[in-house]
Amino acid sequence: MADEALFLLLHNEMVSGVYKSAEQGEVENGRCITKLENMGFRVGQGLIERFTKDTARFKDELDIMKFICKDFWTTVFKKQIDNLRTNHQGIYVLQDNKFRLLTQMSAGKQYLEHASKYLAFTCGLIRGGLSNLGIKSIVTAEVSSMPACKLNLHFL
Amino acid sequence: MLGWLHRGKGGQGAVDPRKNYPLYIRSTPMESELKFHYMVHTSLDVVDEKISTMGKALVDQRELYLGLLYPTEDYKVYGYVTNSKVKFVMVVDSSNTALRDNEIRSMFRKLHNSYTDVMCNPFYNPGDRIQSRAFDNMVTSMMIQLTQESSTAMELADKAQHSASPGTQGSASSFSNFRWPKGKVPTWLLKHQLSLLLSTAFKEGSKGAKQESFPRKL
Repeated sequence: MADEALFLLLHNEMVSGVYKSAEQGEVENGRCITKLENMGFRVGQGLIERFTKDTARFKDELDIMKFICKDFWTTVFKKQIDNLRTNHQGIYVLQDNKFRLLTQMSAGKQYLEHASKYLAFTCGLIRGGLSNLGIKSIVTAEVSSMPACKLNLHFL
Repeated sequence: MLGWLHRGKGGQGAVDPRKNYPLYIRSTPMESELKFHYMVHTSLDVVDEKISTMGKALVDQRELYLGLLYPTEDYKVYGYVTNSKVKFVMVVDSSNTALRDNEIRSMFRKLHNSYTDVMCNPFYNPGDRIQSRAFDNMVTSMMIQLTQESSTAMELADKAQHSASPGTQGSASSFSNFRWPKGKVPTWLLKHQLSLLLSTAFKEGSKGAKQESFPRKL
């Protein structure tokens, strides 16, 4: 259990650190979100390289998505994605009903406006992982009620 | 022996220069470097063909190791593709008969492990040439190991030859008892027995602007 808390606390500090060192006007611009997302991107690239070292070759995009939802999510967040939906044309929606990075925050609507900051890194993580597997994508997140979150993947 | 790390999406028949560029190249001897570059470049087509044949039982689709790509009269070419679309190509002297399949496999595993370490290095920008010394050292040790093995093969071949023909002169038979001191293989042996060229993979077109001018005068 201790190793889970390590990443969680580090991540929280990272978010607050980026926002503290933000210059005037950056907070409104969303540059902090971009910074966090880019951090996640580079981490995702390295992580995916390590995780796919011993797995079999992926047959298609759906195979890759299943890997992300099951193995990747389990290794990073110790649980799987609860729901995966797709329109088979490059749009995927991942639903996590109890997102690990948000469970400590609230269990309803409180602090909803700050949720996007804490999802930026994870969006970047997925985008980086996919990019290293050869897929360009756009990843966004929406939170309607903590700690559940929805991640929208759009393959380009 | 020649190795090549190549990155790019397969699927097309011809090698798209924008999509496949080398990340790392290493060869010995240095004289015929361009020839190896050319061979590796042409073998990329074979790699692409192998990974894109869905449904056909030519190669196990779930495996990363591609095996012998094609044998030419002097050299054998082996391939390996990772899930992250990085292609490793190795060209080995055909006279090096001591190399077994699982040895090649283990070499590719080592390469893959080292590449993963390079990827996780925060100072490495994905898409750049690999400049990590640790990677270089790993490749050098692999080359030395292969040279030693080939020299052992040479000795074994000599021994077999001499035992078959007892009329050989004494000077030749004394050669068969010679053993190279560990790690100290003379350069002439390196030159004539083995050539290892590790060329690195090209990254996908997203970093096209950063492409360096690879020797294209093939």
